[in-house]
Amino acid sequence: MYVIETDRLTKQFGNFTAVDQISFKVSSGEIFGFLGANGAGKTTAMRMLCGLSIPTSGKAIVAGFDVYKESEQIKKHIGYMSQKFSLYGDLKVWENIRLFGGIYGLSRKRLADKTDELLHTLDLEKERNTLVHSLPLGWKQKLAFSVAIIHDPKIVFLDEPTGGVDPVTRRQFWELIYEASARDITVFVTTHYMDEAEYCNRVSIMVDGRVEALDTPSVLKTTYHADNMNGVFQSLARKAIRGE
Amino acid sequence: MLGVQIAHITKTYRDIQALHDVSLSIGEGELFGLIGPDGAGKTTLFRILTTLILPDGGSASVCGLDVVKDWKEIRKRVGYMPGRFSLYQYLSVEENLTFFATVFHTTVKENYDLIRDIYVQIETFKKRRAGKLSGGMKQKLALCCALIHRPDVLFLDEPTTGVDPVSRVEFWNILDRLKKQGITILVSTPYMDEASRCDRISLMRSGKCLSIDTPDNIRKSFKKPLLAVQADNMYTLLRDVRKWTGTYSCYAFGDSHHLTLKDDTSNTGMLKSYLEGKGYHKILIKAIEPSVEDCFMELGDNV
Repeated sequence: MYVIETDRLTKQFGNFTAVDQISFKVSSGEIFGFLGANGAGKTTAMRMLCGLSIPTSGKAIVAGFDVYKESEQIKKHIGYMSQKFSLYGDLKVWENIRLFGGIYGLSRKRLADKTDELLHTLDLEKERNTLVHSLPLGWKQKLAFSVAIIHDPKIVFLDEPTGGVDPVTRRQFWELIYEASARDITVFVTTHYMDEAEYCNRVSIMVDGRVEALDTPSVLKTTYHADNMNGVFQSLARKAIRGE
Repeated sequence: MLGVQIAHITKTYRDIQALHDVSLSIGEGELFGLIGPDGAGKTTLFRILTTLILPDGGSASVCGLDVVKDWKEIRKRVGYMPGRFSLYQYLSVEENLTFFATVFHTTVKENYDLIRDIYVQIETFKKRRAGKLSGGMKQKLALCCALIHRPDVLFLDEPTTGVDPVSRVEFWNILDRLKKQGITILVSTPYMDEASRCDRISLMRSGKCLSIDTPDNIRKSFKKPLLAVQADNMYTLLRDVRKWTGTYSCYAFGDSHHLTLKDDTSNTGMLKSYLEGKGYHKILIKAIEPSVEDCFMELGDNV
């Protein structure tokens, strides 16, 4: 069962081909690393997959819905979190959970249960009434992730979720990713930390709008004769011709 | 003693202690790194040294000038690249550069040699508005603007955050070249792997400088034995290794888990049979040298 299927998906802005015929499939519960240099086309590709940007050509089915015709359905069945935008700092912890749960259409009863469950698993029960902006960054990130999957989506998109976070919290965050994956939620994640690329089931690397490599970290390391994913990334991304 | 001297600096914002008795001595021409996550106090320290805010206690000097008394003179002598993009969005690349040169009573031409390497990479876009540049190009322009008056000391606040690994390597190569020109550089980063590019580093956390030394010495100061462990199921392996009696701590590190042992009495043979007993296959265990990130995490435990 594939949760994402793309076939020659393309996006052009005028003469510029930001995303150039990318084709790949992502399975249910898979942790899929989506890597590339700045300007390689990751953000444009992700926007199409989230139903925020209509492709120029090609096909894409996300969570069973067509990106051209059913973008509103896609938005209901995915979760999204980025380091830049995730929670409202001026709302309390419980208010953020309530807001996002409401947006995703959870019933009052289910929302109440989910709120308690979430505060308990994150060990945030004491912070229920704390304004989110006064939480430490690491807690914010974990809360943001949990809120992004509050509606049990088929897939969650994480756009550089761990930037600036301390090393211990970064690893705790990945444990949350593994738990989501074990609950069969597909995790589609971008990161600039190459050690995190190793934690993915499969990794794709975009260069100049194309998916230049896609495989498990161990196969990629063998193919590119590299000791680690940083080596793989460096040898592929250096081939880029176009600037940012 | 020129360069940057910091003695017992403290700074509090309402109930948050941003800096807690920070002392550092950065030599002339040194490339010094402040390594730590968001909230460690790196930006506050930069803002004090660039005379934008006042410390609550302690003293600091830049190029031998006091950050409180001689703020006017310091501002002429330092270049500052803040973490948040702070150029003029509606001015073009060229106009921004000319503006900063003019403010410092100089011209782009006069100091062009210093920025040439960096500027040629963005020159194609010199007519483009700064706000329309991509992240990596904004960063290069910001560095040019911080350098255009030929500062003695350069302060770079997280210049590589959100930048891809290839561009990060390029940026550090640029810093190496600037260092060769004799510029003192204080740079902050949340990426632990960049620590090795610095002459000396300070690991920062929660407003404190926890450890100040060369990257090599910091690595050597790691006291406990460290192992890299791999097996067929890495996720359950992490949990099981943490439950083992000889384990002090265990964290995921790319393709293996780094296991810090309580002491030398626990050995790899014992670990191997423990894991075999749990049904693991393809078990690989080897002793490794600690990285700066291992050291940082070890320090974190003691805060």
